[in-house]
Amino acid sequence: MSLRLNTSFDDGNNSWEVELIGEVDINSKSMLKEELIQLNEKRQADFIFKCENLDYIDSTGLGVLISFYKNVKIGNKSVYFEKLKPSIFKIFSLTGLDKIFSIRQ
Amino acid sequence: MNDTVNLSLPSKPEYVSVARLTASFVANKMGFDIEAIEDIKLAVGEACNNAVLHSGSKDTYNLEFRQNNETLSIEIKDFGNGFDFNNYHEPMLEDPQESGLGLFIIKALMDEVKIDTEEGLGTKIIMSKIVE
Repeated sequence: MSLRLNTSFDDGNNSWEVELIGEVDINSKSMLKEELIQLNEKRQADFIFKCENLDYIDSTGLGVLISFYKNVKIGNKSVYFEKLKPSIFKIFSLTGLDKIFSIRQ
Repeated sequence: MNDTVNLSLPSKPEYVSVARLTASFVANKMGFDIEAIEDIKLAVGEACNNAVLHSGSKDTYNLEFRQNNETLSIEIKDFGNGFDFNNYHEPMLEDPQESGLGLFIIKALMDEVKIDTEEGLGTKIIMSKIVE
């Protein structure tokens, strides 16, 4: 299994919605990084990551999200993560990212 | 049960999922619960990432999964440059960086972790977890 992304712009919330489906890992991180950078260049806005179908994330995937988060913050925008599975939330909290990112169920 | 499973994988990102699938299979077969299976899978994934990204070896690395009664021991060995462990610092969680989280995650998820590394000879990560 690998990673699939569904992306759309929500005009009402003025934010990008990015649905992460599958695995964010050493093999898919570059694709994710490029896609996010492109979206942010197209339109600077908040990012909402929908994670109910995110099955796996490793430190390299978290690294992409951390560096993207820092980029988005420069433009004073926010990053949200929604509906993390318990196994994924565990990694966010283990690495302290639950305190940095805005996580909502 | 004392089965042993050996794998040799190319040092390329696309093969790491093979190691993770093997880890899930072996852990499931030994009776670990779902949370522990996820922990083992991630720890193995991180050790493989380490071998692929940091060993400096373009060839292969080896994994060995040993079932010993209630204990699963996993050894990940690369034949790369090794690294200077004295230069390794635990990540600062208040200020997350893009890299350096791998070993931290492995240590947090497994019961025991041992790292043997020698410059020029490669790195061996041995980790184990006990079925509860």
